[in-house]
Amino acid sequence: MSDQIINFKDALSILDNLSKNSFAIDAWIPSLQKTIKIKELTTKQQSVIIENFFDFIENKSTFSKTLFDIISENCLEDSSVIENLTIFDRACLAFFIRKQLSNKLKIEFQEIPKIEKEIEIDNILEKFKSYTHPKPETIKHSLESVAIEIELDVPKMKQDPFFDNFVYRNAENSEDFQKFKTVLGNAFLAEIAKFIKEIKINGNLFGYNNLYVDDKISVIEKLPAVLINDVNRIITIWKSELEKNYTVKEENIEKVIKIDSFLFLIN
Amino acid sequence: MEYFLHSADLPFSGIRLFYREINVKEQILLGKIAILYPFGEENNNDYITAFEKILINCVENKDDFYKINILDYILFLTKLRILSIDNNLELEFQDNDEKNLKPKFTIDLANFMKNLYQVAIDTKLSEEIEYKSLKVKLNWPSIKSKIVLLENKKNIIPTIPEFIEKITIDKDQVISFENFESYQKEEVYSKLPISFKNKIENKIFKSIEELVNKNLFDIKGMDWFKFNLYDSSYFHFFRLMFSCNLKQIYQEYYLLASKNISLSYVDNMSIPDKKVYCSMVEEEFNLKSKRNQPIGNPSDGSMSLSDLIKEFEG
Repeated sequence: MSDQIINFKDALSILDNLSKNSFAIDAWIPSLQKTIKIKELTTKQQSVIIENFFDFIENKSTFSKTLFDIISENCLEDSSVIENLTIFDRACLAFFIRKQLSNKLKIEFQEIPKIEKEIEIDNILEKFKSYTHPKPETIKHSLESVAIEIELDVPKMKQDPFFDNFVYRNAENSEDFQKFKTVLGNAFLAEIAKFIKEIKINGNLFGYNNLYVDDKISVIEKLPAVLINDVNRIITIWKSELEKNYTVKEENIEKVIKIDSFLFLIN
Repeated sequence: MEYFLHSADLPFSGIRLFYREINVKEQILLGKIAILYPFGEENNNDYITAFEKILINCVENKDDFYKINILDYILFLTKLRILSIDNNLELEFQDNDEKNLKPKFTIDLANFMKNLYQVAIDTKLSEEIEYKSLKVKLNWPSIKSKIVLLENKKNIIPTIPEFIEKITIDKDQVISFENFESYQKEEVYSKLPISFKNKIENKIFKSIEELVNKNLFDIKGMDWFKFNLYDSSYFHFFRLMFSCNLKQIYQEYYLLASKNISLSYVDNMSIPDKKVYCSMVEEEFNLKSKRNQPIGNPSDGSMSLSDLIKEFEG
């Protein structure tokens, strides 16, 4: 059988189709407890992630938005699947995508004297398979005649960029130290706000879920400190359980691998 | 009527070139462009353009010449040099400090060709790499890619598609990169899965490293000379291979013209032919000089070429 020579235009379309079918790989999604089909990362996407590191310094964009855009572009499942992916799924997907570049990851545990170790990303992905994604939880609190119920859930990836925007937006024109303080304060409020799914007051739905981010923050600022502490406690437990999947240890030094643009720099 | 009596089967391109030796006029032109465009980054492109304009005349199947890859290009030009001039390349390094010795080297060009061929084979660059339904065949970049390589010496990633010869899909669909422009190669390459690209890049990096680290001359004093496709090192080597003593060639023209040999005829002579003619004239003069020598003179009467020129001028 003689070879069929393909021209430039056809070559592009054939390879596009292959990336949707033959090159798709299965990625484990903790919230769904099953795998989804996802296309491999392209070189262009890798460079966008790395460029994002420099954007981050300028507070223009964030890593979470870039990663969500890439996952949305590469995911071969229905849009409903993409919309329901959580930020904890993102942690698993980030390592899954990073593995496509290389299964090896060099971790620096200590700067002086230098302690480094090369780990295999496969081991992290394996841990994620036995990890249980948090289920929604409700916190109840009574204050005089007012009964407040707060439903907590892990936020969706698609919502996260709006909260990031809130965190960095107000700091853009500030001086360095002031910028640092603003970002820190905003980050705390945004973190609480995004994990709250709904609020009920005296049994009535508040409609929190439909509010804009700025309005959600205004609501959070009005909640009693004791309630915020409870919310924060649960978020901390959830996060700590998640981070166990990518916490590594060397010579009694534990390190939680940071999921940011640096993770995608291959050395 | 030109005769291209020699042929060279180029191992990495699978192309046979028919060619002839360079002639005296081309030797002079090569000597002139080396003076006109001296060593230096700013002169590289001009030198390369002029160099190829001269040497392409020695090839019969010119279209095929532009299809060969860089390693075959180096092998072919070395073979052309051996056939046209000599197998040995004499080099003398000058030192700014006059007291220091000037090291001399003789490079055996046939041995250099053998080493270059062997290191290229040892890299196994052309072995196919497979990924699911895809197979990629790599090869050394075509000579059309050499400017792309020189322009990207600080970041070689954009040059990776230049190393791809073809991609085969499902065993019978072939994307041949041979006739693609660089931007088309890049676009097709960008569609490949990143883990596959990592494999391809690793193989190319390893091959380039092996080529750069090999001392191709088998001379310890020449281990500083790195054969790097991303700089102009191989053009420096061509300059050395085809350098000539222009003054001596003009003297030879003068000598042959004195024997009523037309200058245009000398232009088209091969370099070994010119040597034969010059040696015949020398012999003739030496014989005459011996006859005119008074009896009892211990000198054998032989004269060097420059002595002969003086004789004419006198």
